[in-house]
Amino acid sequence: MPEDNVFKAKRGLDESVVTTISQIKDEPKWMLDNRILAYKKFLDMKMPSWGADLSGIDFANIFYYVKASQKTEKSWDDVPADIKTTYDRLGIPEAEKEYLGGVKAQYESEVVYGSLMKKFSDQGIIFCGMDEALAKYPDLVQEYFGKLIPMGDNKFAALNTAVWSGGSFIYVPKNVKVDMPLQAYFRINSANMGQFERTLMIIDEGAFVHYVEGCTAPIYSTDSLHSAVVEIFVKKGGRCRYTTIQNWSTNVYNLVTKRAKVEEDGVMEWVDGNLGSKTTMKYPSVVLVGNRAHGEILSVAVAGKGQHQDAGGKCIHLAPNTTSRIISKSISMKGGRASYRGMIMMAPGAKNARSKVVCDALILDKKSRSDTYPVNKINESEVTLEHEATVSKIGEEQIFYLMSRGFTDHEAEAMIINGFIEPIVKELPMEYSVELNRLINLQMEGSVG
Amino acid sequence: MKNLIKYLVRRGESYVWDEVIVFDKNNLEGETEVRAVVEDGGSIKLKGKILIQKDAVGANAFLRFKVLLLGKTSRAQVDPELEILTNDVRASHAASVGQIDEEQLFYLMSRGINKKDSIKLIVEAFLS
Repeated sequence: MPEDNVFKAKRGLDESVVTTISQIKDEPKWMLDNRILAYKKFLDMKMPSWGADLSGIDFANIFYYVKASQKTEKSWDDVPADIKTTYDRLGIPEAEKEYLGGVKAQYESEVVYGSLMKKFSDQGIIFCGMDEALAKYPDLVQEYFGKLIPMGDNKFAALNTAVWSGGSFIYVPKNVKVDMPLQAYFRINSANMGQFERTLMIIDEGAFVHYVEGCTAPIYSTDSLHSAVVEIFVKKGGRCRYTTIQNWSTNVYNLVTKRAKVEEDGVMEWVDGNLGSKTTMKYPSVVLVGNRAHGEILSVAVAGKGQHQDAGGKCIHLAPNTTSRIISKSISMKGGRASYRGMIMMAPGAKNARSKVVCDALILDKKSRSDTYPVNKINESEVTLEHEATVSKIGEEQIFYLMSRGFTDHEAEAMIINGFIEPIVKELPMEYSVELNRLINLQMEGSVG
Repeated sequence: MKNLIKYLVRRGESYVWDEVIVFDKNNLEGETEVRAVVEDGGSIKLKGKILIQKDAVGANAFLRFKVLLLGKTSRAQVDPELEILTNDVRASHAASVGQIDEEQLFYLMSRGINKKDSIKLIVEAFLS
């Protein structure tokens, strides 16, 4: 595919690249200052050494900003033809685009297509690209931007804050329930290009939204970096569900910081599927700050040849009667490594807090590896915590039973695996659960025998 | 091989249990359980790793942490880890942190045992 990008920043990162990005976007001064401060933090901070091997990342060899078309498109007809072709190859059905309402497609770092159905805007819902939000609602963005994940949180949050572009901004007003999932499609389409989207969601009191993020990318020969930051504020009685199916090509480093703050009676649910990428480090977090707030993290990871999926979740209980649940399912095959890394923290005063963590892992062959690294800090005595984890292979008697019924060994194994991840797959929107099962079957081809 | 390790952590005391349990071709079977009762003002950290090496074919490993927190300011950290380098194994861990079951306490007290002795009985049973 030709790389006919309209604008591409030079390879590598220095202060002038950061300034250029901000100038092209015509950003307010506070954002430029913020970016430069974050860039300096990024230089100062050390690479995280506690998790996956990140030594293959070459920061000097990455494009930090690519703009595919000059302006954010208003209607589907205006979207350039070659971009449409790429989406067609992704298999996004025509009917779905209209049905799903506000589809935001991030193509090479910039939102190129965004059309909000009129009824959304009538309800006061804001769903737009982050850059557009910064121009249109600067006060709202300034009030929340970086307040949950400050630039100094970790090296990659600092990098994202310095060079972010694209991503979604969502505001759902009080008591408004969005009755269809809001979706965004992300693509990395330029070799050696990093993608640093920034997403900010504010779910006001009693409101509800389901946001779906799906990632796919074609294969490239050089390593690529994806480092996103997602901040979600759930106000009193609000509920947010955030679903991700991550299927980056297997040369991408996927290092993402996702965090939600949940107030009284609010609910935050992360549904997180990690299939692709070379290395993923992603631990969606829920900070429960209000009485009776609830957090839920459902995580599926599939690690194939050359892959390390280091995924999990964190729940921080800061208020009484808060509850949380983490369910993690991982599959390692063909020499892949799947690690669960998670944390439950219960602060003094979080009386009657309850949390349950269940991690199940399947290892399909001798070459593969599975790890579980939980941390459970209990600093309040009137709480309940349960944690359990199991690692095993597929039972031979299960395979034998299915084969005696006429299935091939591959079909039998696929059925068992689909059953293994079923508790999470059933929480996905239909087209995603179909896609997930299909992707896993595809990855498993040739893994038997 | 079955191991049971017990802790009674009194006020002002702080304990750390940090072990790596290695499984290889010479050590295929093992179950370890650590139980701790933490009195008011005490704290415990239980950190244990099951490491199953590549040659530990057919290993069966289990690690369990059970912590009972008494009093308002008792603290616990439980970090059971698994590192599994081969597939023909079964490895699991479990950890729980909780308080004295109110129903058990109520039952004993309804039998005429005072609260302090009831708690003592429950703690003894938990550690036995």
